[in-house]
Amino acid sequence: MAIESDRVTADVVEIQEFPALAQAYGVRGVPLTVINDAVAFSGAVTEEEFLARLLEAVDEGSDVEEGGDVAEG
Amino acid sequence: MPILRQQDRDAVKSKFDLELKADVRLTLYSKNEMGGLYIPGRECQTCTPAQQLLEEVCELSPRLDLDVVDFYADQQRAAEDGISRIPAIVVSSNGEKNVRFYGLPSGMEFPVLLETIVASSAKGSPLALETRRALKGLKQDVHLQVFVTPS
Repeated sequence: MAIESDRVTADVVEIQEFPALAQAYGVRGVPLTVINDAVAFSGAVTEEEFLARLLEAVDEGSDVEEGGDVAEG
Repeated sequence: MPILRQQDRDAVKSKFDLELKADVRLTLYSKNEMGGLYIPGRECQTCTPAQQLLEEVCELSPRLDLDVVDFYADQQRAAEDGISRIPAIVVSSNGEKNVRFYGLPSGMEFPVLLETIVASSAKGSPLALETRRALKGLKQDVHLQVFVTPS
């Protein structure tokens, strides 16, 4: 997804090396996916489901972080 | 002693020969060992193996290039790439740097790194057309974080 869109940045985080970060996100099982700090889900999901969660996170983000640093146009 | 076994090196080389479509740069944010000087708070147990692994990977294709950056000496560049912890690997092709790996990509993460390299070079992914259209239409930035373990 990050390769398809310049808007998307993907981080793969190895939790044993960054336990504080994992703790901050409450990681109890892997894989755990967090999108825009707004939506989180664990385990593998279908591509369709993943996209739905991503779009859900974007909607939530616009409510929470309106007027953020995203340049329009 | 190499990290990659010969049979793995052969398999990865074949994959790269067949599938790499463009040049890909791997940028490793690491730390300079400074002659073994220990600085509290700057420990990085996997920085050295990460560099060795990436050197071995980059030897397998002329399309791959490794750039090692000292995180502590070049904080400005780290900030530009959004890097806040090490080791971090940024996979980029044609100047686009949208995928980052934090930590040593070993175990099941190693194939993920390889697939990311290949997809980055191809400027395309195996995603469905509908998904690609939705992603192209995004009006906001999206930050995905996937937390994993090596095995």
